[in-house]
Amino acid sequence: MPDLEELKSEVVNSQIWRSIFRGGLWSDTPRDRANHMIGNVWLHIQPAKVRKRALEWTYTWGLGGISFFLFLVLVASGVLLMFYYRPVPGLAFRDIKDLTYAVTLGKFLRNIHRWAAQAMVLIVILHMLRVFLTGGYKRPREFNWCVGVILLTLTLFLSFTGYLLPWDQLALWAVTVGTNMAGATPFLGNAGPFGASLMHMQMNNDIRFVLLGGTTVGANTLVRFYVLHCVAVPLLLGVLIILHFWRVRKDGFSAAPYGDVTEPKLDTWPNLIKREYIAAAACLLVLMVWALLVNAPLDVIANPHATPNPEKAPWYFVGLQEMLVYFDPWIAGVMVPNLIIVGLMAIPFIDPSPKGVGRYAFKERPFANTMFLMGIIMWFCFIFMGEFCRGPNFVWYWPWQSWLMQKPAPPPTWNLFGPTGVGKFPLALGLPALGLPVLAIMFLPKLIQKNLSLAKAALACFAGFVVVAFALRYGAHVPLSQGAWIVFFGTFISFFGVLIPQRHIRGLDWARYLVTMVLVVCTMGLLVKICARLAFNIKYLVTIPSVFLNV
Amino acid sequence: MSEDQLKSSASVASAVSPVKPPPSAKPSSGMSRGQFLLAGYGALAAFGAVIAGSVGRFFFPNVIYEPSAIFNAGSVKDFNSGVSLKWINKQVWVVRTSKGLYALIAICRHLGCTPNWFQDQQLFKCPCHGSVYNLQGTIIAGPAPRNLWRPHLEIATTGDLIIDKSIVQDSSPMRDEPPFFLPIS
Ligand code: HEM
Ligand code: FES
Repeated sequence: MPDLEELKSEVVNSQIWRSIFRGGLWSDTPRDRANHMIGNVWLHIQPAKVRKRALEWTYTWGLGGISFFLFLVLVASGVLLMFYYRPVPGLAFRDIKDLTYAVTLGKFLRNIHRWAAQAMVLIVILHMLRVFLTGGYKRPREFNWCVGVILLTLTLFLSFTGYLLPWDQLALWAVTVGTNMAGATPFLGNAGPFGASLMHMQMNNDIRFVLLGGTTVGANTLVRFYVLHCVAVPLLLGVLIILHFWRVRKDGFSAAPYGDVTEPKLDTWPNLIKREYIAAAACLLVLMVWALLVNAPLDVIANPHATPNPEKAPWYFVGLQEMLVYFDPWIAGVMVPNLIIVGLMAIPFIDPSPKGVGRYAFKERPFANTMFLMGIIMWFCFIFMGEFCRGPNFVWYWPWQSWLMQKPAPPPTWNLFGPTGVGKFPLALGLPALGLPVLAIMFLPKLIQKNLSLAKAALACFAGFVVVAFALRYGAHVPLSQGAWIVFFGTFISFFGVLIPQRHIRGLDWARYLVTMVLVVCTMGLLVKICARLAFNIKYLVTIPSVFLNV
Repeated sequence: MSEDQLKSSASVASAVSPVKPPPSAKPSSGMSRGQFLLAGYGALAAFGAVIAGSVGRFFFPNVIYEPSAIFNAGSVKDFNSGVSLKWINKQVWVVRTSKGLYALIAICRHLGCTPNWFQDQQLFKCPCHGSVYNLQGTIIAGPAPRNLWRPHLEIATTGDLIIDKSIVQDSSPMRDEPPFFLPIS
C-alpha cells in the first residue's frame, strides 16, 4: 500500500498540478503559503496574512462569507432550474409542477433554491447587525457600508422578482401588491400624490407600467421579472460583491488586535481558508437537510380574480405589509423603505465617534447600539404582528385564536384633523397639534443641557402619561384601556425619542444632530400612528384630500 | 506657401517645441484647453443622456395585449336585488338596489387585491390589508384611501348591460348618477 503522504507530494509536485497551481515545488513554507494566496486568481482577493482576531468565529460569526456562499448556491441551483423553466403564464406554473413532481432532482433543487434565498436574506441582515455592533461602518469603511446597504436592497429585490416566477397564487398577489406600491410613488405613479394631477400619470405611462410592461401583472411582467431575476440583478449583485470584498481588504479588516499591535499575523492559507470551508460545508449540510425535509410551497395556479384570504407576503416583507395597514401606500410602501435605505447609508456620516471599532463595545457607543437594536427589534415585531397576528380579511387574530371564528365587522374608522375629521381644519388645528410634538422631540434633547438621571426622568414621563390617562378618563370618558396605550407609547417615545438622545447626542454638531433626529422622529411617528389605529381606530391624524396628503 | 499656411505651421512648430509658451498665450483656435475639454465632456454627457433616455423609453411597450375593458354583461333583467358575482371573472360586481343598478370594480383601491363579498355583513372585505367597503363601495375601515370604482354603464337596444371599465367614477354625487348608476325600478 503506498504511503498517502508520498502520494500527495507526488500529485502536488507533478507537472500537471504545478501547471494549474503556479509556483515551484510545494514544501509548505510560509513563502509557499503566501504564494499560493497571491498566485491564485480566486484566492488572491484575500490577503496573504490575517490577524488572529479576524479568524475568531465570535467576531464575524462567518456571516459575510456565508452570505456569499448562499449566493453561489443560489446561482448554481438557479441556473439548473432555468433548464426546465419557461417564463410564459400558461407554461411557467406547469414547468414548476414538472420540476417538483417529474424531473429527477427537480424538487430538491427547487427546495434548495427557495430555502437558500430565505436564509440569505436573514444572514445578510445578521451580517449587517454584526458590522454595526463592531463599529465596522466607521472611517475608513463608510463607502463599503453603503455598498453593503445596496447589497441588502438588491438581495431583497432578487427575492421579490423570484417570487413571481412560479406563477401561483402566492406569486401573483404578492407581486400585484408590490408593484401597486410603485404606482403610489409621488409624482411618478398614477395613484401617488401629484402623480395624476400634476404629472399626468395614467395606468399606461407611469413607473408601475414600466415595471409591469402593462397595466396588470401579466405575460410581459413575467418576462421582465424573469430577466431581472435571472440576469440583471444577479449580475449587478455579483459585481458589487466583488467591489465589497475588494474594499474589505483595502480598507483593512476592522478586527483589531487585543492591545498588542505588534502581534504577528497568521497565514491565510490554511487558517482562514480552512474556516471558510468549514462554514460552507456546515451551511451546505443544513441546507440539504432542510431541503430534504421541507418542500418549497406551491399554491394553486395564479387566478387574477380571487385573492387568497388572508394574503401574506414572504416573511421579510410582512413587516412592510403590516405598515401598509396603518399608512397610505406612498408612505408605507415608498417613503418608509427609501428612508430606511437612505438612513442606513447616512449612519457612518452622522456618527463621528471613532470609538468602539473592532469589538462589541456596547458601553462605548450606547446611543448607536441602542437605537439600531431598537430599530431592528421594532421591525421584527412588525413582522411578528403581520405573520402571526393577522387572520382572514387581515383582521387582528391573536396567535391562539382560531381563524374559523368570524370576527364582527370592524367599526368605521375616523379622522382626527381634516374636512372629514373631528377637528375640521387640518392646517389651522392639525398642523400645530402634530407639529409641536414633532418639534419638541426634534429640539428638546439638544436644548436641555442638564445631566438628567435616565431612570428618574423616565419615571417622571411615565407618571405624566398616567396623569394624562386619568384626566382623559374623567374629563373625556376615554376608557382606561385606551389610556394604557397612551401610557405605554408615550413613555416609550419619550424614552427613546427624547431621553436617550438627550443623554448621548446633545453635544453633536447641529447638522449631524438634526439628520439623526429626523430619523428618530420618523421611527417614533410609525409608533404614534400604530397606536392611533389600534387603540383609537383613527384612520388619519391629518388629512387634506385635495392634495392627497393623508398622515 | 501662402502666408496663412506659414503662420499655422509656425504655431505647430511652437506647440511641439520644448520651450513652453508664456501662460498668457492663447492657442490660435481661440478656445482654451479647458474650454475644449468642457465642450468634449458636454457632448459626451449629452450623448449619454440621449442614449439613456432612449433606453428608458424602450421599456414603455407601445403595444400591449390585454383584454378589452368593455364587455356585454347580459340582459339587465337577469340581475336580481343584491350583489351579483356573475362577472367576477371580469373583476366586476353588479349591484341591484331598490333605487337602481350600478357596478363596482372588484379591485381594492389600496393595492389591488380582490376583496370578498360577505352577504351576512353586507360588506366587501379585502384579504391583503383589511380594507372594508360597504354596499355602495364606500371605504369604511382599513387602509384604502379611496372608494371602489364604479364603471360606466349603458343599456344596449337589446336590453343588454354594457360595462366599460375604462371610464370610472368613485365619488358622490357623480357616482350616483348616470352613466355610473342606472335608476331603474
Ligand atoms: C450580498 C450580501 C453581502 C455579502 C456577500 C457580504 C460579504 C462580506 C464579507 C465576506 C465580509 C468580510 C467579513 C465578514 O465576513 O463579516 C464583509 C465585510 C463587511 N460588510 Fe458585507 N456582505 C454583504 C452585505 C453587507 C451589508 C448589507 C452591509 C451593511 C449594510 C455590509 C457591510 C460590510 C462592511 C462595512 C464590512 C467590513 C467590516 C469590517 O471591516 O469589519 N455588507 N462583507
Ligand atoms: S389591497 Fe386591499 S387592503 Fe390592501
